Amino acid sequence: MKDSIYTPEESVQIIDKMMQLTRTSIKQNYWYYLFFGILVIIASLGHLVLLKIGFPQASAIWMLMFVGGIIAAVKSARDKSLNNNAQSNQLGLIWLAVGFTYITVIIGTAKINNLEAMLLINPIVFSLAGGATFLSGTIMKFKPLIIGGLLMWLIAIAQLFVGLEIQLILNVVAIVIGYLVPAYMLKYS
Amino acid sequence: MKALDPIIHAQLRLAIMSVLTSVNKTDFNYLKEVTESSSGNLSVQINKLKDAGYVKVTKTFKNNYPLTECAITKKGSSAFETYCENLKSYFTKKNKNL
Repeated sequence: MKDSIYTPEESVQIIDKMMQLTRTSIKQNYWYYLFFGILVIIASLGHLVLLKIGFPQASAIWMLMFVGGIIAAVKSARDKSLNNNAQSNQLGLIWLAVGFTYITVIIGTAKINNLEAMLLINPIVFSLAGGATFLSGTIMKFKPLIIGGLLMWLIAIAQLFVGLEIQLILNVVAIVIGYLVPAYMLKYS
Repeated sequence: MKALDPIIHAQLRLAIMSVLTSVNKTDFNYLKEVTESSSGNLSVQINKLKDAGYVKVTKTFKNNYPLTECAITKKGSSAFETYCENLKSYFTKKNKNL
């Protein structure tokens, strides 16, 4: 890169190019939103179907999320050289913190083993996911994720007032609004 | 057109400031990768920005390897904002004259 700049147009080109390049590395995060979004939809709809057919351990389908967590962790470690900037690290740490909190919530409610406590899992999980999505959007300066996070919070509140089957349908709505739509917008932005 | 800040108005320094505005904080290798510059030149330009108080440089170790992290300072953010405003005023003036 030469040292001098001859025209203001050249300055704009440099700023634009650098912003695009850093944006590209952030754009790679769309994969995680798509991956977990699709996984939650499969788990929610699968849970609903298993409940309908009277399968005794219907909630076991959520073990898929642990498998997903391992796959995402492996991919993240492989992609580290591509995403090696502070912003990506902050995003990773936010989702890591949320992931550990999910595990605590799930173990805690399973330990209580009470239907009322089980009904709190979805609202708590989506409230945390909404928070993390909102923070990710703020860090990435990407409005669809910020809006998606806010809507996920609202859906989490709505889930407090409905039964498990409606909660599972609301999971799908929350994921489409909070993950899938922003992920596609990020991919094609 | 208002005078453009000479500390920022150089290709590599402008590129560094643009990246740091976008990511707030990053490491030397990432800056080197995105600006496609040599270590020596990048180091010299970062030091110029550091001397001007636009960039804060932190040197630590990660897995026994030296890690140089660069972050934009408040002074740097405000200088970059002023630089962009001055560029904008140039284009506004240019469009008016068309």
